[in-house]
Amino acid sequence: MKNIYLPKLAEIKEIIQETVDTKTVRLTIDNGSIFFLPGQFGEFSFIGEGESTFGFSSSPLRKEYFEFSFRSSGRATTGINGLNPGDKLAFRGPYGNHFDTSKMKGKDLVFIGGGIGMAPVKSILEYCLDERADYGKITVLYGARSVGDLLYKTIFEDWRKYKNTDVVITVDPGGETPDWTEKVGFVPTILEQLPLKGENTIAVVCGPPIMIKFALKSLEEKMGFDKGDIITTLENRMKCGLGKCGRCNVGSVYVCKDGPVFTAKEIESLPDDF
Amino acid sequence: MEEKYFEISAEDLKKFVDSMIKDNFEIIAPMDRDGDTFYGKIGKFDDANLDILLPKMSYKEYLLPKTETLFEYSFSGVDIDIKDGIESVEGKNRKRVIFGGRPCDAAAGPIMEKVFNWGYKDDFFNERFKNLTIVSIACEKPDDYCFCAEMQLSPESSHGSDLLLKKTGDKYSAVVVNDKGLELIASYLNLFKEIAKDEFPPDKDWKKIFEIEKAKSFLDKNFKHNYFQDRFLSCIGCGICTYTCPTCHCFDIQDEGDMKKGKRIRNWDSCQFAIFTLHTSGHNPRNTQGDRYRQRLMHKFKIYSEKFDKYLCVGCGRCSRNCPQDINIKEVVKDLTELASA
Repeated sequence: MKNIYLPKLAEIKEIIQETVDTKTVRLTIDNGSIFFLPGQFGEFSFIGEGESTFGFSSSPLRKEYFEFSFRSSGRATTGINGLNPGDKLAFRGPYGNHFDTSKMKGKDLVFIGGGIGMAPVKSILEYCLDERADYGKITVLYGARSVGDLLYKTIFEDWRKYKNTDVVITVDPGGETPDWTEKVGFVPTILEQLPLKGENTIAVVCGPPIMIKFALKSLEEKMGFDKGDIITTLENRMKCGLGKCGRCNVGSVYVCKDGPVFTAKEIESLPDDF
Repeated sequence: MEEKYFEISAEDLKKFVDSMIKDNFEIIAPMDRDGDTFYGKIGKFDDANLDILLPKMSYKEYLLPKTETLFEYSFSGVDIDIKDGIESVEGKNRKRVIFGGRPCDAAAGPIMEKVFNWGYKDDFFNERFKNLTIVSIACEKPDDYCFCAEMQLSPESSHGSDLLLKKTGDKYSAVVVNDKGLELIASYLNLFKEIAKDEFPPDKDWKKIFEIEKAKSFLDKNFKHNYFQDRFLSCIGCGICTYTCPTCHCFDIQDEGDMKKGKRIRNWDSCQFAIFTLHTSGHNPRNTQGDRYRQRLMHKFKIYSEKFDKYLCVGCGRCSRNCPQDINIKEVVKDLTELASA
């Protein structure tokens, strides 16, 4: 008999303070990573404070750790926020479906992230960068409300080092600092200015619902992307991650088990329940 | 196994139950408590109330307890010791019998089993379900809230029971549905008299007031229909419909304890609560009580049937009987079938 709710213990290897309230936690189990695929998620907890659902934000090809990013906002995340390297964190997973990289091979890719929604994008982006030769041109568009709200600031330059890879960073109007040299503007606005075409290109979009809504509109209506070539992730409150506890469904789709990765075409057929 | 048919007198049925109790079976039956009737452990046959149509609650808690420990934890420094909660169900309650439950309650087990076994297998549920033997008694007179016939069952359905009894005069006819049922009566066969299949009373023709497929066809196309917002304005979101429901199985996972020791538990939860789907950001996909009651209807009559099998409802009517706002699900589903034809 097996207890599917029983977590494993992972050791915190490194904690990166991304913004004032956001951290990235790098974990190891037996000094290595676990087997997962980009787009999947796990249930993480400081035991005693309850579980939270986070997507993995690292490339599974970087075997020395696996990581997630979180914002401290409730009881469970405040618990995780108080931990230090060397402490243990309970973990269940990986769960859910994943980005279909076989469909992305040989194509141009555009990765669009907003705010903390960049976390799952980073996982699939770095996976593709790790296998750079398999893909065409890569464009990254990442935006946040303000300069202070951008995650992964220290690694933008790493992404830019790859050949045929454009990295565009933007902040919402009013969110810039005096020394800000990158773009200012909402993600969908900047997106429309990029030299992108729908042909032979796959778009990955993750972020707040309002950004996704307008980014999809731009991609489909103004840039000629096919709905089947736009991939995004859905988020709904989850507890079990296993298709049992009954709260994450959108129509007859359980986000935790049938998702969280969907094409814009698949989402179109779902009721407005997310 | 092929079904077997028996007869047993009312007097011998009492002997059957009392003998099982003597042989250390744990018999769970409808019994009067606190001015109402609930399923509970009886000490003797006469403790049971077999006249009541339906106990207040179903016996769902014997499959999915209101609260159960998934694991216990204790800290020593940075080290965490975890004690697996599955040990508390493994091999336990092998002699537990639900006696005198109704066919609707019996049908709920196999319905929930599908949810707890697609993809990941929930052995907390499975072990309890496997060890439970179900002896049901057919209903003679369903009340106005009942709609099991509409839910493709019947007051005499043996679906989900291991042994079903039908009262005929001062004796009972019994159908043994499977090996589990046969095993249960094996030691008490002297009390039962085997009869031929055609001596077993046939099912009556139970009238239906709506076709459930029609309700589904409405739900398929009308997620945004005004009916949901208007009809459930009166719903106060207490969740009693989900708590008394034999098939509602949604749960919450919580940690209880302090920095030294505690446990992770799972509790019954309800789609009728706003917090059920509330995102950390403050966004809530199901923001109104209309949205939440619609989810309950969708889950029962559309989502479950698309994902698993038939419907997530056995037509027991408990949600209507217990609703403080008199929302009658039988009338609601009938409304949906009428809206579908409108």
